[in-house]
Amino acid sequence: MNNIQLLSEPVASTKTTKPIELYIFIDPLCPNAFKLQSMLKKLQLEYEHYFTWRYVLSTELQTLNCVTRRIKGCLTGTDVDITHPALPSLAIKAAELQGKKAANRYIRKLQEHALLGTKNVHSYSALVEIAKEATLDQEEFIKDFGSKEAVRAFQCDLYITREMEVDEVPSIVFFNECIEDEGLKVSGMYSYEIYVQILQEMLDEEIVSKPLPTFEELFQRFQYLTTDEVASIYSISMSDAERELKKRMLQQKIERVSNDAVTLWRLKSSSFSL
Amino acid sequence: MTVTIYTQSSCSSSRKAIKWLKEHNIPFTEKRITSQPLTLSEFKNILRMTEDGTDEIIATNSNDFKNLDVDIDQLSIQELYELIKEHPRMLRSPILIDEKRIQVGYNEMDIRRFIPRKVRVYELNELRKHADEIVS
Repeated sequence: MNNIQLLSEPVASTKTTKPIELYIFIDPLCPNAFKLQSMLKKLQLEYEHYFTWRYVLSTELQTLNCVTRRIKGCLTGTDVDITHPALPSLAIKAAELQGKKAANRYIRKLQEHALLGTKNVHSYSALVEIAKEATLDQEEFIKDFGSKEAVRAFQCDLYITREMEVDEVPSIVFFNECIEDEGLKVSGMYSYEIYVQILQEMLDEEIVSKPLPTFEELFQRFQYLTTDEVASIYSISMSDAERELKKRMLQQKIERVSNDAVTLWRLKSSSFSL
Repeated sequence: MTVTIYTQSSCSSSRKAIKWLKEHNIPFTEKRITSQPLTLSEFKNILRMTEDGTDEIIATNSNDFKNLDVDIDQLSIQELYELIKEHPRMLRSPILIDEKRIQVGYNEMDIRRFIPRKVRVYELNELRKHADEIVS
């Protein structure tokens, strides 16, 4: 499309630039963030050939002023662990220093533990363990956690939040290719169709969706999903989604993990691939 | 916030990108990595903006890279950084970066993304908004 490459350039990728940029403002552990991310999953599956996106962490400023707690913990009982409400955001930024995909793997793992309540995701030691589970370069992650680079990355997000005058999470800001146009800010959560409609309005061409993936491809890509997400992705009823999921569970392809609050479906650990 | 542009000597794309930034009055800092090695902190800040860490920024066709004969995916970040510091020409050029995005190479359409833009609130039909709230 806009792939005007110069001959002198040593070009490896001939990736066509996507016309739309999305800035997705979330507080990663806020329930609203999960809702927006569910919507984003479907939008990626159907329309990601039109847009690039990145998360901007909009951590409530009041949480930054909380007191750091030191807790004794860990197996030896001698290590000192700390917890702070802003630690998960800083951890995500440290993960991001290994690239956006690494950060997204990290966020997914972090949220999985938060949803299932399997780790205290505000504690330093748990956040380091999650880096390992998300297959990051763990040594580098530990160095970066709390480094000036991670803090600066975090500040960048606060700066973008201010610059785009985002005062509510979740929000999405859309930019198209036409630099004379203003970016469009959509605050709050709307139905999937609204976001598709906005994409359409920002494009010069008729928007065309990609076919949805099979169940197996879906789980390869997102690792875990709720019944609700599966139902909404395939536009089927909850009971149909549940039946399809149970079928795969019996085939040993996926497993169900749940606690009182939430049920997640994920690839069987043995076939877990990132 | 200003744009940072990482350039290499005798690179026509770098010159074009700088000319473009000047013409559009976009504040920028240039760092020529062939004479002033990239710092670890700068390298990490570049990685942060990439999709997949290395794919976008390594010039896999360059002689520097081919001669090295390494499997990038097997390297730790530290090892990769050491390699790039020694062989800056294994990076594609130029690399432009601000707090929002990265652009690798010069492309006259894409570089326009660095022009500052305003944001306006998207006016949704209020009725529809209510309808959606009821649904969700």
